[in-house]
Amino acid sequence: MGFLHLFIVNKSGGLILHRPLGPSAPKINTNDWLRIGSTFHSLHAIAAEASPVKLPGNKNPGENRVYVLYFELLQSATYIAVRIKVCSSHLVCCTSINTTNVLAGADDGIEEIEGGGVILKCLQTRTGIKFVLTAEPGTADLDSVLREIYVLYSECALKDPFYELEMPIRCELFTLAVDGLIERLESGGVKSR
Amino acid sequence: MTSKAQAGTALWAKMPKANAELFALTYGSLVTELVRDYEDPIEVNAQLDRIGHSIGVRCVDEFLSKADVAGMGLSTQCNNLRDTAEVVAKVGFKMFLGVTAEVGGFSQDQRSFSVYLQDNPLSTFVELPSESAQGGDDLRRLKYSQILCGVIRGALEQVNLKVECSIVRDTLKGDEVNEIRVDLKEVLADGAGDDYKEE
Repeated sequence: MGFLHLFIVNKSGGLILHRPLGPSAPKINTNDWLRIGSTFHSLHAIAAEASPVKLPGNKNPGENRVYVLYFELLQSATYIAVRIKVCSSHLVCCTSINTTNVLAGADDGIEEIEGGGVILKCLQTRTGIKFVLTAEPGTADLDSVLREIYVLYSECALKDPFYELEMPIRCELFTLAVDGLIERLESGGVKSR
Repeated sequence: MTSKAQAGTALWAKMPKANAELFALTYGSLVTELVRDYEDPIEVNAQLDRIGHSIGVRCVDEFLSKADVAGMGLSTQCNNLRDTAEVVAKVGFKMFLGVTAEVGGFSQDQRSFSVYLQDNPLSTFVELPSESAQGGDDLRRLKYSQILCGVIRGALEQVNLKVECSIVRDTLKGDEVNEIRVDLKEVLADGAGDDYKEE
């Protein structure tokens, strides 16, 4: 159990931050992370289009469907089966005044990927940024961690006057805050278990 | 009190506060600086709008993230422009400025609405020069709180709503209420364009 890696992808698929969060995080160089980031972005877009449960206006009352597809992991040439949870059933914020099928950007696409030894959670904000967290299976409450990280992003990165939107985050306050959050969770998590 | 107003109050309670007078005076000095630099009030309005836009595109994320963490569930609240307008006025204005705004004046086609501000924290202490004063005639065209229009435009642009905003009534010009008119131009769509869709 433990967090592995955090990466943030902007709305056009560019990686704007990647950060190992634990000692067992994979050692992959930045160029590869850039590739993973944009590949994830594309898969996310494909999943949103290919979702079997899309109804007009995204007004599907049903539960999220979980289905299995083969997912080529970048790091290895082997194919492994993973479960990808594609979410397309949420109501969408600020879509449209007519309820035809207009994508809002959020709430569609890949929400979670479970593989052997790794679990990946993605939070796409309504402004199109994707926060992606990987962790070992069994790590508690990744969703709320992602939401916390989103708050930190808005507090630290966006309020940095030298930070330009869509650009890589080089903001020490933000990385420190993320590290602090993870540290707090890991130490707190051990006690509560 | 509606749930949106409650949400706004709850979020406002958690925001770090700045002194209202300091805030008003700082904004005032920004505007006077712009007036000094650009001289033409129309150009000053444009600059204020631009500054507001830069603020808006950033603060919308703060708004969404904090509302989400506080469990407001905004995703279920914005299904049409009417809801969006309510959220902007009741939650957004309250959270960032601590004032309550009202919505109204929806057009027939539901594509435009007005935000009414009873008290505008930006215009405390402000008096625009009267028409008889020197240069006063020119400054009547200054839209002192134009920055708010820019913020709304920037914030909604980030959630795929392209709007136009303008101040139509201003207490500084003798109207009884501040009115910001918001006009929805277009809903931008993410995802693959129609060209890439299968038949």
